[in-house]
Amino acid sequence: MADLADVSILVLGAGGLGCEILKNLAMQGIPDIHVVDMDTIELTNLNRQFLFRESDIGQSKALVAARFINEKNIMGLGGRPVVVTAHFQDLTLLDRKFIERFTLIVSGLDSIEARRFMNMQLVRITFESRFEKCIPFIDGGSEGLKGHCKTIIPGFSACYECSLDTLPAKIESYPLCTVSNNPRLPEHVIEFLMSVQWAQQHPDRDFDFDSKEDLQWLMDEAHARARQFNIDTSKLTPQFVLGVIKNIVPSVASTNAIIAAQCCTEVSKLLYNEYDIGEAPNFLVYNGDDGCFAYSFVHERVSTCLVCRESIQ
Amino acid sequence: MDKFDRQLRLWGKHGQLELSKAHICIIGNTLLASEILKNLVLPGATKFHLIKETSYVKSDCFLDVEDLKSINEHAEFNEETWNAHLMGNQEYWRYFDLIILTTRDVSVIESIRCLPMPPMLACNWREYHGYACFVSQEPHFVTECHRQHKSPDLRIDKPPQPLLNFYESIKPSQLSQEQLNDLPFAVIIYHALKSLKENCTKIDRSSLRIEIRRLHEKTLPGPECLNFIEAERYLYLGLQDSEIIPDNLLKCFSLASSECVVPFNSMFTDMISSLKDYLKHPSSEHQLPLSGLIPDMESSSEMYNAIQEAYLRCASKNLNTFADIVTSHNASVPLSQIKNFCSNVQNVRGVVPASHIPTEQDCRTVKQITPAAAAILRKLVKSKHELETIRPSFVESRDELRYYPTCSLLAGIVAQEAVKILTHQFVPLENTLIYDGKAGQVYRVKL
Repeated sequence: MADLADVSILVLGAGGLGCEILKNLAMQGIPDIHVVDMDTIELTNLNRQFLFRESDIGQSKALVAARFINEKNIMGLGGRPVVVTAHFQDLTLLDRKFIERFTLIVSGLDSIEARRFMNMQLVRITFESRFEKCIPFIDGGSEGLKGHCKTIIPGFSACYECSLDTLPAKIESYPLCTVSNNPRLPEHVIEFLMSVQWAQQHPDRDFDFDSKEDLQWLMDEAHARARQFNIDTSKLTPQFVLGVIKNIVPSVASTNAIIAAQCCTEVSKLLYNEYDIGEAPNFLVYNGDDGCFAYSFVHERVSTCLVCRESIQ
Repeated sequence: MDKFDRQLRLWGKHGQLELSKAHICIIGNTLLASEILKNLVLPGATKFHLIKETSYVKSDCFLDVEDLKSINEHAEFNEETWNAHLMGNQEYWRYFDLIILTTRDVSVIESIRCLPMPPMLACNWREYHGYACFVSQEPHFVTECHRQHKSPDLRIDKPPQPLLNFYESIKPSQLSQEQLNDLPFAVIIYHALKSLKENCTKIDRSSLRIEIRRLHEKTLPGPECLNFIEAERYLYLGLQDSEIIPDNLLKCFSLASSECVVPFNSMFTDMISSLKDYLKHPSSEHQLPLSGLIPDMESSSEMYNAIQEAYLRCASKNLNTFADIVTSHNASVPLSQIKNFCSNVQNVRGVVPASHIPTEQDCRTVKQITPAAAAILRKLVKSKHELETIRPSFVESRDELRYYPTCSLLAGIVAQEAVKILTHQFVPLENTLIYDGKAGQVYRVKL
């Protein structure tokens, strides 16, 4: 790896994992850190995203996070101060030239598509430079008390696409005949309202998840329909309904701390030449639901991977 | 929306309340302590007692107490300096719900090592290595372990009387094809089992499947019947023995004989001894109290409501009987706890923590099982001399910066275990974790 004082790292996402990753990298003394996030701060972020306060609600996560760390005046490697640069934008619009300037990329995203985009860019960079340039990509993910960390050396070890099958399938769906004729659970009621009744009553527009009126419509109709089918309405609270329609996943500070730290340990090992490509486990899963379970292993490259297969030929 | 919405989805309002009123003592003015503190203030713990070593050196934490106050204005931080005379007495510690030991000062560790203390998490780290150990003088019990995938509790093999009445009220032989298509799978399995019993056929997987198919054929020709497909998928529920007490509960039975000081644990042990009496009570029919929760089953809304009601009625009858027994043992157990216990009784758990803060002696035991873990643990609990050479503030030595994430990771684990221990929700570590960041491995051992 290059001279440590010249290291620059791009962090994808300034959410629960992002805040932890940024803090760790700053404490590791990485002088040049960039962060990209298109989200703004919400109240429900504050149980874990410790770089934000209530007064920051509505502002850009990337900008507020960068400001918080910069104000700490942390001295980094090579006597350079740690500086975080914020990019309040969609990361899939970042251009190749920009991405190429980083030593490493660490992601703490919730979007699978955004990760696939970055993975593809990085694999291309390795191939097009004929393996002269390779930017490691470390990916963290968390949900409830569970999480994972993947270390990708594009073109050398399994890429994000190679392990795509390890992700769970999309949200559970219910058969249409159940939700329309035989609803039995509150979820069936909501599903019917969202997929059938809304379109019947509002053919001109889509449901707006941020509109108070639309949510009120949903609450009222859900209670009415549940009563019609004698379904217990006590479960139909706004929290529950929002959880179902937005597919909200639980999130806590501790899991983010664990996963982000594992990602940053991988950063250290790569920077200080303590990482053995091909031998080192590149995939760690963590589960704190029952005891404290963590397991790491080597995820092999997939020879048919649509993104990184060309170098195997 | 609540600021804590994303975690209330895990441990609920009652868990949040336990966390917010818990009195937590953190020993050691270390980087690890500062990270743990952050991870506990964020989810809403508010009562902290921080003990600094006398050999106090200001380490460069990312967040100081002032920062933490800005995260939660209700959080209180009492700071105190180590006082061997005062703190070498067990009286000093008894009002804390949890102690978190992060100090590297061996004299501090030695003075509390032999004291009977409240539940404690002992932890330490160095370079890429760390350990966390759950230490307690008593077992730890969990009512809500939040298993994501539970086996449905339907008692189809031996339905207790109220359920039996419901199942018997349905006569498949008298039903039309359409009505058969509306039968929930539990009813199908019950009647398939019943006719096997009547014909004195040996009940096993294949005979039960054949019987379900025989019933299914009556609905043919016709559209595909999801309820019969479900009945085949769940037929194993008909082969269970509802009188068997699951192993996790048997473990609780054996652990519940110990004397418990933690209020939740002592309440739990009272409920366990009540449960033994309950099982002898005639109305229990030698079965555990029913949870009343049933899975979704393909059927009409009316039919599903009917079966759900039958289960809920039976569960509430069981609950009343059980609650009477508990109250006769200990009148102070709140009904909400009894209710919670009843609905989770199949999945309650008991954990045996370590009896003491790890010593070098323990490394020898660990070595026999996992030599790699023993080497790490030895390094972390080793003699006085070496530990004192670790600088609490390592910022001047640049090379050391690379290890910061180990501290952060361990702080995440300790905070997560702390929340699990304080809320008695989710199963905590049993009982020691050893982390090797270099190899990317985590070892779990029982001390």
